[in-house]
Amino acid sequence: MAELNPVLHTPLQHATFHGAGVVMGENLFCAKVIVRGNFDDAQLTSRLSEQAGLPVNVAANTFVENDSAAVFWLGPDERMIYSYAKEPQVLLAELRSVMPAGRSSAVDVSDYYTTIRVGGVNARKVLSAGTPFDVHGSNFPEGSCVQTRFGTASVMLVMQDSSPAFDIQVRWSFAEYVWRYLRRVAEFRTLTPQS
Amino acid sequence: MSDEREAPNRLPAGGSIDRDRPLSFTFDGKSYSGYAGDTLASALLANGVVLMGRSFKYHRPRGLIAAGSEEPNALMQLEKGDRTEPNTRATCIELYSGLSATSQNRWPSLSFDIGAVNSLVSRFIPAGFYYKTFMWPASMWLTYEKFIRKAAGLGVSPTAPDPDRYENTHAHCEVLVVGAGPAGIAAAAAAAASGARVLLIDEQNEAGGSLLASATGEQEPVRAWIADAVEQLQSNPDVTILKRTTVTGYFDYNYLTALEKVTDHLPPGSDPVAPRQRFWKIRARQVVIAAGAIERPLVFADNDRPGVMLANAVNTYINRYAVLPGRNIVVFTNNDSAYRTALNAANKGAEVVVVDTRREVDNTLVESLKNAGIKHFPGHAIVSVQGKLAVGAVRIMPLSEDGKTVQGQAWELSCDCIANSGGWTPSVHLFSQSGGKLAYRDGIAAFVPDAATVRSVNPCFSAGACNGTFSTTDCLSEGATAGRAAAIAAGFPGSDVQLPASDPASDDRGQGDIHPLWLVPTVHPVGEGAAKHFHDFQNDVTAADIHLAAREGYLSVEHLKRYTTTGMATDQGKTSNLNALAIMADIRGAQIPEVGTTTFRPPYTPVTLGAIAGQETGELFLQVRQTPMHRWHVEHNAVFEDVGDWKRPRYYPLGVEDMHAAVQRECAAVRDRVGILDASTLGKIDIQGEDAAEFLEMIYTNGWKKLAVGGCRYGLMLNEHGMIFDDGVTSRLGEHHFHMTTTTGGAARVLNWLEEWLQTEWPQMNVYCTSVTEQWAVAAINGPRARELLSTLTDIDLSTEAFPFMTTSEGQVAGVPARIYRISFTGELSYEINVPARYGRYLWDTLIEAGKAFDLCPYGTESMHVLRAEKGFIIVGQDTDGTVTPHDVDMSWIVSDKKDDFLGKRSLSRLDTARDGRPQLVGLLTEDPAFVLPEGAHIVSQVLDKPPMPTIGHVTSSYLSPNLGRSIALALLQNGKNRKGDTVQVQLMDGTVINAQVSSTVFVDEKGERARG
Amino acid sequence: MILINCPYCGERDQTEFACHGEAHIARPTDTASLTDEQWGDYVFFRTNPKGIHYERWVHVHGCRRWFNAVRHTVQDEILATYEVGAPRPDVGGQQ
Ligand SMILES: [Zn+2]
Repeated sequence: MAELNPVLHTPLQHATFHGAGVVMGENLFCAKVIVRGNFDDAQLTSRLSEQAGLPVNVAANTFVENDSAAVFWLGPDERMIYSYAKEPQVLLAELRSVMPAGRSSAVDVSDYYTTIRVGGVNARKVLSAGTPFDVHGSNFPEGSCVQTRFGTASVMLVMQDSSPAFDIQVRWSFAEYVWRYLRRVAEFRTLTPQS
Repeated sequence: MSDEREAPNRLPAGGSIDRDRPLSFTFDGKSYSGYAGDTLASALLANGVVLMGRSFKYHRPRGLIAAGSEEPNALMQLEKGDRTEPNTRATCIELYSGLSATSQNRWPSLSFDIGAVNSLVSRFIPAGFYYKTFMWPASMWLTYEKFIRKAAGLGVSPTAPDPDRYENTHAHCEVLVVGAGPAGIAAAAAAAASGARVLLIDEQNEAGGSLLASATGEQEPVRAWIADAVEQLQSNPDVTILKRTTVTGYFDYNYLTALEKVTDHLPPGSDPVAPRQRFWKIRARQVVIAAGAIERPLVFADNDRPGVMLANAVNTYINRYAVLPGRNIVVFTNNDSAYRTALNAANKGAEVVVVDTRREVDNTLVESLKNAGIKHFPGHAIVSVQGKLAVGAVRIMPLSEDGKTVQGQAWELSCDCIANSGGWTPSVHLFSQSGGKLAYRDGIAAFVPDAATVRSVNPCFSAGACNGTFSTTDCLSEGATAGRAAAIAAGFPGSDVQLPASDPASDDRGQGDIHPLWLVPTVHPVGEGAAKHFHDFQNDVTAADIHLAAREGYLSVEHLKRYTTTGMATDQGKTSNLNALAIMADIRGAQIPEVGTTTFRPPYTPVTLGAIAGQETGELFLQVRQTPMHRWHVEHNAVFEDVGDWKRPRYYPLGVEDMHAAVQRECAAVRDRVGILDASTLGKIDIQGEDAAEFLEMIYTNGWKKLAVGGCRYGLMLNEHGMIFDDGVTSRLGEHHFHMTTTTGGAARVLNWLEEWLQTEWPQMNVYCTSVTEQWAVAAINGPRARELLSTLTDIDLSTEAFPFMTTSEGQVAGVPARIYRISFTGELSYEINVPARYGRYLWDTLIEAGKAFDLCPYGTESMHVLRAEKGFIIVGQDTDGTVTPHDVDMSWIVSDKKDDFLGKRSLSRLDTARDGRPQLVGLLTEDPAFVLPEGAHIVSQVLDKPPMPTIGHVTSSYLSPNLGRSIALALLQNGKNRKGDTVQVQLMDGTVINAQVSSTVFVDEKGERARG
Repeated sequence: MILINCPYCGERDQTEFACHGEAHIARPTDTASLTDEQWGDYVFFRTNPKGIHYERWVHVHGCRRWFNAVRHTVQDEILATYEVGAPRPDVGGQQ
């Protein structure tokens, strides 16, 4: 067998943008698993929460996060779990081990999505060009995450901090499209006269 | 700029222009100078340019009427070349250095226009002329149309792509305030004081609304208050102020659109960053409409002559732009508001005469005229206007008691400007668009919003002049009340704002005691004599046209509008609508409310298409999807094909190869050696749950319960009509775990289909579907040497015994975790290698490197299509079209007869789907093996001299097969199953007919041994 | 462009949703025993009322849940949304 040296690629690994009031780039790769099941089942939620290190019974349109993991609400029977420390296969196996076989599912989507960080004082204006969702702090406070539309792509918007900084989680294949879209509207903001 | 070159009509002082910033511009090729702060209209007027355009139908000379966006006449062709824009209103164009404008609708020149002959023959172009003349015969319409377009064109479109950039964005607020006049500012201040998020929008480049037209010293406390309030709003982070922005439409659920002219006030292209215009899509919890009112003209004889202007426009030019439109001004009015203009103009040195249709006029006004030395003719009317290219004089006569006739002593007054006012029309456009109804208020002779009819989904308030409230003091308090109420309705505590003390002496009197006179009589009855009474200037519609329409039975306003085209021009009848329907009411002997109004439609002012498209042009026009290997394809010269939203390599030309040569080479490589295809785009769905197999039994036509773990199976999905809807291979990864693949374009549709059944019909099933399309990068290696190639990169036992056809295996490939599916879409030995997408590019590079020893050939979708067609594998959507059952494509083998039910099953036994003779999929071999049939060509039952010929089917796929050395085709042919061996005729576009033999759909390796080897 | 209240995510812009036609049409269970007419009625025939219409919607760009909505087809107003499986809500005698 040939000498092997696996190289990891992500869809936007070389993309960065620095403009007046807007900084954008791709977040580091991390493990992501979608878990589905009956979240009214206390046994499932307690075992999953213990395994994830975070409560999984989060409210609609919110997420919880610590240094090593995050849990996002995706739907009444659906959560996304990130691990910043574990390999995807390890995270998947661990979660699966505490879920009821045949009545739930856990799927590795680590590569399915990538995440773009959009920060800066003009970040909200940049996002608003593409999404009909109101990202103002009163409607989208810290700890919020929503699935919505950006341009014509489905995305998950995450309110990371009120500096502000947002994450846009997007499918791999749409990443380049969303990135170009963000860049074009960010460029409009760079020197827009506010006279 | 030196004094001796100062424009003739420019006043020596005053106005909000910046005299330190002169700007030069051209109009019809001639150079002029204006100042920053001018509009194109004010700068032209300052330079004594009165004639600005020709009218639409009669080509009559026309000048400015207004000072705002209601202007019907002064339409300009702005700029040249790829930035040229027709029909821009000179009153809305802020002057910038180097501006170039051209008048429209005239040939060869503005002052001598050949089309004006229409004016001489105008009794032959009455209302409805186009309908009557050009309706019949229909075949002549194309000829007429050319003539009409040339004769009546309003400006020209650019022929090159627009070089400017536009943005399209969303905004959200609790309270949207439309208009930054006294009412709007008060509303915004009150709402903002409550803590609500406020969006304040105004068409002008500064706040102030009607006060922008007031003279120095007039309404000082209010103007100071507004300046202060605006400053406070600007410093409030929850308030956004958009100037140079027009709210263009009011749609359901308080969704409004607005057009912001971001850089239109700058020389074109001078801002390298900002978009030219920005289109706003606004969602507001509450809306306060404070859009003001528009003055309407009096309808008198030849009221369209250049120099006839609206009274408040004259006032605006004097006070805001320091331009005196005339030295001898006749003010003609039926209400109080025009007296302000008279006094202002006199104060600036003009000779002014006031002609009022009312016999009784408020004494304080009469006194103020007397003090200013202004001659006053109460109870009089203008009966004629002299001068064609510019007003020279008017003739006035006393009005009869009822205002229907004139009689008595006539006076001739020389003048160069007529400032007229027929009253004020509240701008109810947005309220009406929101679904609210209008009510006619007699006291002000106009329609106002009926607050009782606000739709619950479009909560809004109207305040100020758009609500029929004209005094500044009342506008302020009404605005503050509306802003407070809107904030409360949006869930905020109400707050009061401190308003400036009212000053009755300088307050706006509004219309005072208006006496409507909808049509000013002359010595002739309407329609007789040479003079015309215009109400719609832009579409050239006169009072006589309304009489004609009424005589011909077009009595409803909606009919009147379409028959006469009144209100249908680019100004949407802002100055003309009320006059038109009042004249109709008079003819019908009805009250105005009985006649009603036409529907107000968006947009309020024209919107550039570029702004609606915004940033979604070029590469952002549609979403584009790329695989992890995309850059490799680009680097290797791939020609791409759009499949759904995906960019897929179609073929990889070497050197000067065309598609045909590349495809022949690629196909031969796959059959002879080994090829590699990027198959990452295939839809992939992870299905888990104890009922997963049961679920697949319902979704697919064949059986799934007995599929062994590790096995793969091809499946067809039908919709409930029994028609093929998608296909793909699904593999069993565990007892309760499946991996489904779908067509590239069908992935989202299939996932929705599965979810819909699970969520709505079978919620009791324990099945969970998750899309994993992009989780896996897929390299498909196909060809007799595929196993040899793969064995250099993996420890997985690839022998047929250990890893047979139609099974899947997990392991390491090139040192990364992989899942391999031994399935084949080419009929060759094939492995579809799936790795996590982050390793996709690495896997591909490694395979390409290792493949050099095997002469590995990358191939694209075109070769894939040829290779699968050689095997008779269908492509859903190409060989099927939504009317094709599995039996129709000779795939009865995949329809289980053991299952009680599956989606679409019952439809397969419907009378029509079960009948003989349906179009069925067959192969076609042309008599001439070199001839490739065009896809879509029809198979005919009878050969005639020329098309059309009776059709019995059509070609769905057709290629030159490199492996057979001849052409092959697939076709849907009526009763095809029973026609094998027959010769059929295929008709080409030019009528030529080609003979072809009906064959099996499988052209290569009929037993399928190569894939199993 | 209306707003739709997803029972799971809350009020969102219409462009996040897709409509899948009339709601409350159960798939027949014993399909083999149906006549062509009965089956055709299920597959092809839908009501098209002027006024209240019960519809099935999906939050495509959101939680991807199906739900039902009561829409007034004249005013294009959504009077209520509710979970699949729940009974038709009372919309206050609106017609
Ligand atoms: Zn939702």
